[in-house]
Amino acid sequence: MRDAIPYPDEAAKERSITAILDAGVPEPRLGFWQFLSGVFRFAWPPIVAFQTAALLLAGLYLYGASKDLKYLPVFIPLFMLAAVPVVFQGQYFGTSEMEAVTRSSGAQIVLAKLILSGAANLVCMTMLLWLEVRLTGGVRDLGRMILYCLVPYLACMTMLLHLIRSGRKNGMTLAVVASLGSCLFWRVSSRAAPGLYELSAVGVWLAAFTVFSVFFAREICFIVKANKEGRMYGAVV
Amino acid sequence: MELSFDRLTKHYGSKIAVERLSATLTPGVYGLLGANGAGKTTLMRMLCAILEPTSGEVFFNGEEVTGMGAAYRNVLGYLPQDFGYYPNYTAAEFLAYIATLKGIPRGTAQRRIRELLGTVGLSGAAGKKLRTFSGGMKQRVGIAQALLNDPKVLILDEPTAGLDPKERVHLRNLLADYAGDRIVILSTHIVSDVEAIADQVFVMKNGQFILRGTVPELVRQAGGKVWELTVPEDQARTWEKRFTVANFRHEGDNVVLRIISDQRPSELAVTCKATMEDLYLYHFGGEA
Repeated sequence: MRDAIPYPDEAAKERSITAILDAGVPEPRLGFWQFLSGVFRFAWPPIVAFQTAALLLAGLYLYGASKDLKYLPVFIPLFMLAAVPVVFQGQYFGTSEMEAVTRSSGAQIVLAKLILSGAANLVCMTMLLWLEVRLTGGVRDLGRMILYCLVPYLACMTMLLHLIRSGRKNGMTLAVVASLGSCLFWRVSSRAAPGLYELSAVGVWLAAFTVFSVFFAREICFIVKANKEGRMYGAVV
Repeated sequence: MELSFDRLTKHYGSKIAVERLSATLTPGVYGLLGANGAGKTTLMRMLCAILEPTSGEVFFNGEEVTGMGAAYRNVLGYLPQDFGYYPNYTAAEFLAYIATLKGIPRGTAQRRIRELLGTVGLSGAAGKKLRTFSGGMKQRVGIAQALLNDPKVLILDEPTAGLDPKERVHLRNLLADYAGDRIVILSTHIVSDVEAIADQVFVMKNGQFILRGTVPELVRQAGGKVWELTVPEDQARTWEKRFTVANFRHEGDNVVLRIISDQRPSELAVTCKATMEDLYLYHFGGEA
C-alpha cells in the first residue's frame, strides 16, 4: 500500500480540513434535460404562439394563393422570426445580465432556447411540407421541398446565431430585419430566377445546403464549446 | 473563504474604467463608494465574470473564477444596477424562472421562494404581475432573486436604489444578518448605507481605490477638515461658491454652514466631528 503523502506541517493540514468543511455538502442541481424542461415550462407560450402564427401564415398562402413549390422558401425565414422573441427575451426585457450570473451560463440558456425553438421549427416545417405534398398531389418532389425548407432555414439560423454571438445591442432588430429581408430575397428570386426552382437546379440547392450546414455547424460548435467552458455566448447588453 | 482580485483592469478603447485594482475579501460586508462613472459597476461585473477584464484576474478560494464556470456561479448571487423583468410574470413565477436558471430543483425552489418573498416583505404580492409593481417592489424582487441560491458571495449593485427609508433600513439589516459567514459586496453612492453596515469601505474614483478601510478609519481621515461657521443669511451663497458646503442650517437670521475644507475657512469657524458623508464630499464635492 502506498504511503499517504505527508502534509508539510500541521497548519497546512488544518487549513485543508477547514477548506473542505467550509465548502460544505453541495446542494443538488438540475441536470441539462431537467433544466431544458424547466426553461420550456416558462418559454412554451411564446414559442407555440409565434410558431403557430408563422405556420398559419405560410399554410394559408400556399393553400389559397399559390401551390407552386418555389414559394416555399419565402415563408421559411418566418420561423426564424418566430424564434426571435424567445431567444432575445432577456435582452429585450433587460434581464440578460441577471440571467448570465445564474448557474447556467449565457451559452446554456441560448442553447436551451434554440433547442426548444428548433424543435418547434421542425414540427412546423414538417407540417408545412405535409401540406405542400397534399397540395401538389405527391411525394415526387419531396426531396426538393426539403431542400427549399432547409437551405433558407440554415441560412437564417446561422445569421441569428452570429448576431447573438456578436453581442450587438441592436441584435434583436437586426434579426427581425434579416428574417424579413430573407423573405423578400426568396420572393424576388422566385420571380427573377425561376430557373433556380427547376429540377435541373437541384445541384445548386445541394451546394447551398452543404455550405450553410457547415456555417451552422460552426456556430453550434461555438455554443457547445462556450457551454462546456461555462462562458457567455454573446455579450450582456 | 476568500475572494480576491489581482491588478484588475478594464479599458474601453482609450477610456480607463478600472485600473489595476487588487484586494482580498474574506466574509463580511464590503461597501464600494464612489460617484457615478467611478468604475463600481465595471468592477462588479468583472467580479461576477460576465465582463472580461483587459488584464488581471479574480480568484475564489485561490481558483481563477472564469475557469470555475458553473462552480463559481453556484456560489454567486448578483443584483445588477439596472435590471428588467418579465412584465407578465408574477413575482413567484419570475423567481421560479430564475431558480430554474440557477439549477435549483423545483421543490427546494418553491420553499425558498416562499421564504424569500417573506424576507423581502412581498408575501402578499407573490401572485401579482410584475408590471403592477412599484420601483421599490421590483427592487425587492431583484434582491430576492440574488439570494435564491443562498450564495456565499453576494454582489449588489446599488441595492437600495428606489427603496423608501424603511425598506432601506430593512435591507441593511437583512444584509448585515446575512453576511455572517459570507462575502457581501455592495456598491452605492448613498453614504449612510455603507456607513451603517460595511465592515470595510473602498472609495473609488476614476477607476481606482483612492481610500480603503473601516468606517472609523476613514472618518478619522476627514478629521480636522470639517468646520461649522455661522454667517448672515445673505452671505451664505458666497461661502458656498468658495467652499464645499455639506449642510445649511437656519438659526434666526443667520445660517450655520458645515464646510469641508483643508484650511480653516474663517477665524470664526469651529471644527466639528466628521462623518462618512463629509469624507465623501471631501473627495467628490467638487464634482457635483
